Amino acid sequence: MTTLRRTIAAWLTVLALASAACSGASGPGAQPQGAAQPAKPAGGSAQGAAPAGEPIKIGEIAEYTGPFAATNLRAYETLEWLVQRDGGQIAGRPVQFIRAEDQAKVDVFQSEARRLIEAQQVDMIVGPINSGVASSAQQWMNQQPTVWIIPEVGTVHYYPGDNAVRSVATSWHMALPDLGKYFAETHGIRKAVTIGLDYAAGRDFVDGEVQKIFPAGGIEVLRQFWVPVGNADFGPVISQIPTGDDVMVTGALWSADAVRFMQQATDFGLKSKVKLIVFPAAFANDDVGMDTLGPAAEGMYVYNEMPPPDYPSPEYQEFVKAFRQQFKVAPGYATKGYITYLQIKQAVESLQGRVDDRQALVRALRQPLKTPIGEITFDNCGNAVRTLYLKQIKVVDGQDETSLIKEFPNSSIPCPQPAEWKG
Amino acid sequence: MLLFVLSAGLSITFGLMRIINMAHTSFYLLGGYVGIAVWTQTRSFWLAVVVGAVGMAVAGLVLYSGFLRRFSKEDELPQVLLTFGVLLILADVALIAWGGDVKRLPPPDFLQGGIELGPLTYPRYRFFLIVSGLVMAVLLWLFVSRTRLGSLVRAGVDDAETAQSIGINMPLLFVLVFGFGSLLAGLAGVLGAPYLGVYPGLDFETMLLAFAVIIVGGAGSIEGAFIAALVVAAVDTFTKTYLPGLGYFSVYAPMALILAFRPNGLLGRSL
Repeated sequence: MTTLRRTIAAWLTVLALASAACSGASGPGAQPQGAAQPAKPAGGSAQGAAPAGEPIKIGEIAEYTGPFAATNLRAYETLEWLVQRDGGQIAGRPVQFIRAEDQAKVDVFQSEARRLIEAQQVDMIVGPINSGVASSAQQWMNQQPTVWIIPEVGTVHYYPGDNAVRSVATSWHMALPDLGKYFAETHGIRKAVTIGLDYAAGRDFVDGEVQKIFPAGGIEVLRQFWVPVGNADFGPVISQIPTGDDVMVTGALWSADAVRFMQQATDFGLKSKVKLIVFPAAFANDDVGMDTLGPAAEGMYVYNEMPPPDYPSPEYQEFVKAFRQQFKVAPGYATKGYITYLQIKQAVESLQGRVDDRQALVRALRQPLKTPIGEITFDNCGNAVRTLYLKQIKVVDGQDETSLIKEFPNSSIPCPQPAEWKG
Repeated sequence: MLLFVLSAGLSITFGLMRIINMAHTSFYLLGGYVGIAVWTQTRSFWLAVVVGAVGMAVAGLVLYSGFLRRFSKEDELPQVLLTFGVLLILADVALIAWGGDVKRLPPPDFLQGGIELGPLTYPRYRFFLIVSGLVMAVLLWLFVSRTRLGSLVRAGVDDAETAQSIGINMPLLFVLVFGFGSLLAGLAGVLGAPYLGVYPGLDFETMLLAFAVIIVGGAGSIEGAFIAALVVAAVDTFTKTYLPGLGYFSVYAPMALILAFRPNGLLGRSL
């Protein structure tokens, strides 16, 4: 009997550890590569004099393990790399990046953010990235004595407070009626099937498609599927999808789930049985997972605020070239780090490096931002007004890359936040 | 079938040695990464499978010989904490070595694409996984039930002290079994890489499923692991497809039931 009790106790310990580790689709709380490391001056690429004085401390918070690890890390690595290219400084002040992992859990996010604010005394925090975390912690974030820069929270249930600014296109930005007209008129789409990740952002994106995009194109919704984040097997879903040459498969999948879906959709022959497979947001990133897919991804569409590598801007092409040299892939999700870098750089330079005044910093971060991929402005709610890009995945020099199909400018979200979106 | 291969190694290890190896799925993760690294260099899927599996067997032997053999089998909690620590360390090592991107191992050409079954298309690689899993289940069953080494393993599972007293070299058997269990984890990792991909956090995602299989099937039982793998995978897949809201914790239900009413599992021996 004692042995039995010991066995059950041991198993319960195992389960407690396993479930603690697995909850939130995240892994260890240990900090990843590059954590808490200051941006190092970039040797010969440094511009201007060596930075001096107290560093500007920038916290970076996200989950660094689990299905979203790759994209999150890519965004922050890009931000850090771009600052390093400038000699590790902005406006003559050295920059120190401090990463913290929230494990996609609100309580962990709050304790880690508090550590960044109180112990590390950061000047600003980039993140959170997880929509569920951001919308749940919104009130708490609004009360903190720091500035939040949100490069990726797609849910409409989160709106920036007075101390925050969001540069990402939300689910609402992407719910453009013009997209529905385009799919119907250009590709003859009459029916749609949606597959969505079953959490806040996934639900938001699919709701936007169903309520805004499909009606504009007269597109009928045939079936809707929901899968949890970290879904390994899309086979049961794919095998139930109605097919036809006027059917599009869309919804909301991204990161590791999108990579698995793309591969399995090809294995099950779905690509040849429907007219279009097209997803919003970070479904197919040139820099995360695309290089492993090969023909599986070819022909699929994606639309979001991240321009393709062939975006016809000389300045952007310079960035693409440098990025390829540094990371050996084309930029995709990295453009979130790129825009965040431009945004911080413009704001800090306009303040001549003085970031102590939080209100002034937020105002500076919300100034119109002229970028090589078009101008981004910010409304009174701190949300971006910006261009969306419809892209198709093509094989370029033996590698899958997205290619520009069409631009949809001035995409925005209602301000103030509609009552039905408030938590 | 993938879950069975992964869990069978854990089941044998725990059944014989009473070691709750939380780092077992680290070998699954690393096996996948090593396989992809080998493929990148050689473009040989089969070499990737061999090196990934054997590499994890070696890693398992290092873990056992270097750390775990110091514990007596009654030290469950220290074992759990030690191997959980190893799991965390290896997760970070993998993140540093291979980054956060999703990696995928391309299967051989003849296993790519699908087989047409009337209006349906079924992926060839999945057929391959099903067939190879069945073959492996039969081979493992034959090994455990029909070979001399298998009988020694069974003797060790039933009563290690008595087996030792009649001349069976249990320490050597322990080493071999732990290495074999790790080999199976590495093998599952490489075979799963074309299907699931490999990425940070995969070790944690599979850990829960693997332990669910052991709890449901019973430690030390190949048959139990086989049946439980089918049950757990079916429950997990069907709830994620038809009741996605329950998908995050559906595997807890069979575990809770088994722990409540049959703590040794469906086919596990009394411990």
